[in-house]
Amino acid sequence: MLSLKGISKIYEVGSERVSVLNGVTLDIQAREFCAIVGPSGSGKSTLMNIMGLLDRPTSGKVLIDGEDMGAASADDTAAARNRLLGFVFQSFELLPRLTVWENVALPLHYRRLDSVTRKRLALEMLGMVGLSDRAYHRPSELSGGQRQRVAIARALIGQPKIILADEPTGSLDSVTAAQIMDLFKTLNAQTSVTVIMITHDQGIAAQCRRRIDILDGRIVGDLTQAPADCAHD
Amino acid sequence: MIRGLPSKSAITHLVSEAVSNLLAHKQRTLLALLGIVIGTASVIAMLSIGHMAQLEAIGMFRAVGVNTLLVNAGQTQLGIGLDPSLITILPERVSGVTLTAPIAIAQAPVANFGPETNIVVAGLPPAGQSLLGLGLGEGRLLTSFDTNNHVAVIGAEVAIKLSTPGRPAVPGQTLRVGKYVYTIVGILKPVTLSFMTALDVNNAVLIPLSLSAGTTGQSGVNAAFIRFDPTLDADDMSRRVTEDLTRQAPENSINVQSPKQLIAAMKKQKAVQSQLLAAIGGISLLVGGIGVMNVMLMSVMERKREIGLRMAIGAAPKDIQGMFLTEAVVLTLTGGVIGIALGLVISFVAASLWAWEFSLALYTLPVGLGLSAFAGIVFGFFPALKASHLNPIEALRAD
Ligand SMILES: Nc1ncnc2c1ncn2[C@@H]1O[C@H](COP(=O)(O)OP(=O)(O)OP(=O)(O)O)[C@@H](O)[C@H]1O
Ligand SMILES: [Mg+2]
Repeated sequence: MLSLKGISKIYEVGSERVSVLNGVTLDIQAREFCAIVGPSGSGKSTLMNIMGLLDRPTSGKVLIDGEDMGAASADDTAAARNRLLGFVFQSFELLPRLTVWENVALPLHYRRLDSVTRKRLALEMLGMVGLSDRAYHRPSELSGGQRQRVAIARALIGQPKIILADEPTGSLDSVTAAQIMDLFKTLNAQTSVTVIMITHDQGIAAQCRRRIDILDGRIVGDLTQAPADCAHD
Repeated sequence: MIRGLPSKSAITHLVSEAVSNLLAHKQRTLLALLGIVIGTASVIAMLSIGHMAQLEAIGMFRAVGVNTLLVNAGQTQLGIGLDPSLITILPERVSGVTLTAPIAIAQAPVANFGPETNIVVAGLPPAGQSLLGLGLGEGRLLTSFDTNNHVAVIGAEVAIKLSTPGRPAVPGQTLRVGKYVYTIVGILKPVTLSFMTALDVNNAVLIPLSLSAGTTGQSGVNAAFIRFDPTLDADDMSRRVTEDLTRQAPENSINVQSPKQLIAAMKKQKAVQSQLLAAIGGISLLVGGIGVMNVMLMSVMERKREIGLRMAIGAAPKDIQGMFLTEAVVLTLTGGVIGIALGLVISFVAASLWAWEFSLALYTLPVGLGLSAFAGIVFGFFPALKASHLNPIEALRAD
């Protein structure tokens, strides 16, 4: 499904070359639920941005469904992000002027779907994340957990193959974080979407089937575990 | 991958988003609009005033007829005007001339019992009245039987000016012109504009040509109207009449004008005014456009995170570009619509000030809309391009 082959990323800051990723090779299968764990500055976000086609590696290959995305144009990567990927961010990134359902429907706009279909699908997604009654609210009227649910609904509406979540529970208290984690697990089980999640929370990492440890831009651990406290097994 | 042209619903979506974004910054939007409004308004005013001037020019010559020449004859060094017989024999000397009217224009003290005022007194043969296209308000015009009668036809303004309480200047009333007493026989209808700029008929007293030299003390005539066969060329007629009169009266400076020349001169004058308005319009549009560009650049800077998010969920560079271009065009089109309305108000006010008939040139509406939309595309292009070239990661990190 998603393959990284010998990915390195080097930033040139002035005359200095900062090597953030050093030959990362990784294969992620369909329906997997992975945690990426590592200390701050280890290169997790950089890696996820490359997986998400938001950034290009200095060297190495990114393959999605066997297709090398290295040569893809900006339009092609935009289309691939729209069809294959869904993003969830630590700070939600909802557009404040749009209503909840409009935020959820936004990816479908770039798929040129008509507004009636967009709205119908968005309301369906909101039902799935348990926010049907907030469809016409603005994001500012929601709690942090609710906002992240909206963001998850937005990530899922295009029926992507992979959800990339960069510290999705990082701004939430532990109770809400657990609820969001449950939602991810449910969605992973129900829709068979692949979930790749960066987290600092060991408890959350322990709930994921696969745990990838990053240190100084290298994979230093990759184990598949029996997920702790897994309600859907 | 279905990525065709934007559908109708996509355009509606784009426009409604643009409107809500613009409304979120009302003050800034209004300031940016100002230049576009002024620019469009001056262009619209220029076009519609030009249009009305054209109609006025056409209307002006409708009364006189385009197959008419105006002769201006300066006095000789001895102060003698042109011999009127040189004009009256023109039909025999210059082929194509059908009718002539020598006119002697002078100032003379005129009084209706009250204090005397200096008023233009024009001596002319009866034919001169029809050549001038004069309309009668009251009484009658001068006739060929009036050659030796001290009778006068007065302009509408003169009639008002000379009327005193209890003694209105009406037909049957007498006037003193110079040392002579004239009887008013007719009052003219007000004339809006005269082809013959040398004679403001509204403010003139018309008397028989045969009596004018004695009354005003000015010998000879200094102007004439000449009607010619309408199938002939005005420039050619003008040249031939000039040649003949210059040969006959080398002492006088002869100047012949045709309506064609006057229209050309007027057009030239109007062209200068139009260029001025066009320059104002162009500069305002430029300044307004730069304002729009500024606002759009600010909008791009403020909405970096939104741009990054949109890119992450699948917006292609051209989608981002389209979003900001739409916003710029919605902005300038709004300015354009207000500008058109303002331009029409300005031309309406101008028309009523100059006593013109207001007329709307329909073609100015699409011109105004097109111009303002064009300004939006031109000045929105750079900010839109800048937005579409943002790096999504950096954009998402922006605050
Ligand atoms: N545009 C850039 N230019 C230079 N250095 C960069 C740039 N982006 C990231 N880095 C560096 O790359 C390293 C890895 O950053 P990254 O954001 O991937 O870390 P992370 O593992 O996600 O950390 P955190 O857990 O704090 O989010 C950091 O040292 C960072 O300073
Ligand atoms: Mg990070």
